[in-house]
Amino acid sequence: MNEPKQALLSADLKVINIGLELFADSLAAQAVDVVRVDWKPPLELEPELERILDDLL
Amino acid sequence: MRDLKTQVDQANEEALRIVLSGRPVLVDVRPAIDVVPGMSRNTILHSAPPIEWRDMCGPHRNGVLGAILWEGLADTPADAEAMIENGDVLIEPCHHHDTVGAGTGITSASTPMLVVENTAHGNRAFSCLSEGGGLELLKWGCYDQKIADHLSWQAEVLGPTLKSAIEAVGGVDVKNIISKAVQMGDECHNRSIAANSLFFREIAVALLDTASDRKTLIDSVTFLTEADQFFLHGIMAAAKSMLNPAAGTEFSTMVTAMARNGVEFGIRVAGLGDTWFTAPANHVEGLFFRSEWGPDDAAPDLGDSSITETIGLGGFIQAAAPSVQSYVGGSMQQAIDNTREMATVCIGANPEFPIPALDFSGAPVGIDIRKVVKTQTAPLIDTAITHRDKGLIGAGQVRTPLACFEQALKAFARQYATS
Repeated sequence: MNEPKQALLSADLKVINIGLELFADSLAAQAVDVVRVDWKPPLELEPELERILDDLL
Repeated sequence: MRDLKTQVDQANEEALRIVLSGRPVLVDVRPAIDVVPGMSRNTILHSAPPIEWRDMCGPHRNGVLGAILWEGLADTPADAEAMIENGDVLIEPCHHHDTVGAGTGITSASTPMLVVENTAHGNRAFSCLSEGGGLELLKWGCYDQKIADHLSWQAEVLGPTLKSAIEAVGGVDVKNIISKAVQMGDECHNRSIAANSLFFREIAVALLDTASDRKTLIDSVTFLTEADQFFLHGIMAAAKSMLNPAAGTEFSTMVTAMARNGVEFGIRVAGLGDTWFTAPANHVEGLFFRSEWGPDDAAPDLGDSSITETIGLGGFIQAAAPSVQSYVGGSMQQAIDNTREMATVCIGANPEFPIPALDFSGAPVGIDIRKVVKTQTAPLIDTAITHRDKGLIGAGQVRTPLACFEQALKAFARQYATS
């Protein structure tokens, strides 16, 4: 049951960091390979602006 | 029939083409009454957007009163205020007169103006001569006899001296100076010392040749070599001259002016005529020049100098001017990140303003209100910090409010969605 978790802890880490760079920076400082994905949560605009942007952009 | 998105995209390409094709040349220095459209002996101009006298911030109020006294329209501040209350003095934004002013932007009939001609489009724009360095200037809302004497020297001596030199060299290509200065560490708003040096180099021999006498020459050269930000005003007038021909481009969502009056921040949009879209001005974060000053002493964001960001300079190209980061405790990487972020709200890039630290990629230019609202990314402005009463107290950077971009977008939809 615990083998996959143990393997995760004993094997070299391969990390994909999505969003905040702070986490990736901390891992990189510990010599862990990190693939960084630039992502932010979708913004919530007021519905009228969303509709306008759908038409204009 | 083209869909609306395509019409807007094509209009923005055209608006940006108009801006980038501009060729601003400093051609003259003349009193405002002689050259500024709509100027009169009892008109005082201030940094936009429009604002009523009773609502003005301290630096604006003090600056307007100072200009009335300097012009000799009144003998005391009380008399000056009475003239304003009686409607005997006209108080209007610089932008409504093809003019831009740093800080308070206070400009009156006798103010010596840099005259910049956009030779590609045949229009002119104006900005007052910089008063030089110092924390107490009319542009920061200060006024006393020493300031009055300096303004008079600029009007009577420096202005005519510069006029002769500029005419002798056949005009000074401002765009060429900006292009070089950006590659020499200027972002051309909070730092324009390279531009200043390049300008002085352009006119140095002509000054020697045309100055009326030795004292005038020495005084003028002393002033020009000590005033690190002198040419900012020439750059501002150049930016205004490049943006004005794009105003009125139908279907364009490109910003043609950004300005702050110490109370409100305002923008104009190419496809929306002369309307200002405003929101409360933000406070500037940055370095205060004395330990006794802090955020509570500061007026909100103030001045027309954000015309530089509107043309893709200043806060938009911090990557070109890492030394400006010292005002905000930033880093080279932060400056690069800021420039890349500004590119996400712009229509294109200006290859004539290349940024060395970004492999000479062009400065981001042409703010698109659609992208600002979509990404909720507020344009970044490098700027001074003015005391809430009067005086310069620091420098730093400030984000624009987003609300005015959202208002403009809604107005744009009302105007064009059914056309």
